[in-house]
Amino acid sequence: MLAKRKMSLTELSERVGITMSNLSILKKGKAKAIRFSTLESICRVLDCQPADILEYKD
Amino acid sequence: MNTVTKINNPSSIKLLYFITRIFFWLSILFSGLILSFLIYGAFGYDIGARVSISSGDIIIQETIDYSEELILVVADNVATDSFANIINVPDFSPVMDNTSKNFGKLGMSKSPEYLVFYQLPISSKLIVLTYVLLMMSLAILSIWYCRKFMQLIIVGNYFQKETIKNIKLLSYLILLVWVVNFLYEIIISSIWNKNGMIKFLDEPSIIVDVPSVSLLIFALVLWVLSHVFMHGVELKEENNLTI
Repeated sequence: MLAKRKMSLTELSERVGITMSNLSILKKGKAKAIRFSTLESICRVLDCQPADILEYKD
Repeated sequence: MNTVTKINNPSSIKLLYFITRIFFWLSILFSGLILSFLIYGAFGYDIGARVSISSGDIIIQETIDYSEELILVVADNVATDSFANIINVPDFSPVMDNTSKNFGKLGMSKSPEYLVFYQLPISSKLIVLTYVLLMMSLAILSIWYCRKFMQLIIVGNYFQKETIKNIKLLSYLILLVWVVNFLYEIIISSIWNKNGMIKFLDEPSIIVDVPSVSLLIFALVLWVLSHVFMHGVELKEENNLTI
């Protein structure tokens, strides 16, 4: 999604308002939970649906 | 050390940290002192004084000459409580004094006729020495863990696995102190009773005193607390990973 929007991680973190370290935790899939507010703001910044950034792997 | 200045610790934590640091060095110093006295006595030397150590104060008295026999009570039974307060527990009164009743750590209901450390057989000396050595190392180790715990607390690592592990280890150590104390009392009292080393003025009876249950309860409470805090650590980790 980031590639699609041609946005860097730094830009995303700045616009969403989360730190780079938290973003990398999210990206690596280490996060245990995500707040709805965070999800909302990421979706707003990237102009997408939660399904576009979340995927379920067996 | 930068983090220390950032965190606004209550002065009680600072004070406790300071105390644990001082206590650590003091315990090493006292242990060394007691051990040297005991080793000196173990080699059959008479230090010519009565060493009584209770809660950090070392009192070295002149030998008391009781008319016929010279009775020395030289660090006869040194016991340590959980925090290295080395106590010369039973205040054995000498042979003449059969009116006073002693309820020492060994639980002798009557005054023993004699008990002089340097005159004890080598086996008893070894038992006493190993007990004291074990107790001292346990005490020093527990104070060391206390210090380590306080070091982590003062830096602000409250809910971290390492911090909680220190509490857990501390509880195990205190439990071990209790067990060692208990075993020692059983072993030493049975040996001394069998060999007739302690002659009772009245009927021979030995009551093995269970070392203070409060120590056991303290250890168990610490152990339970460490488990509670372990759960807290998990919650904190989860909270940290919620973005």
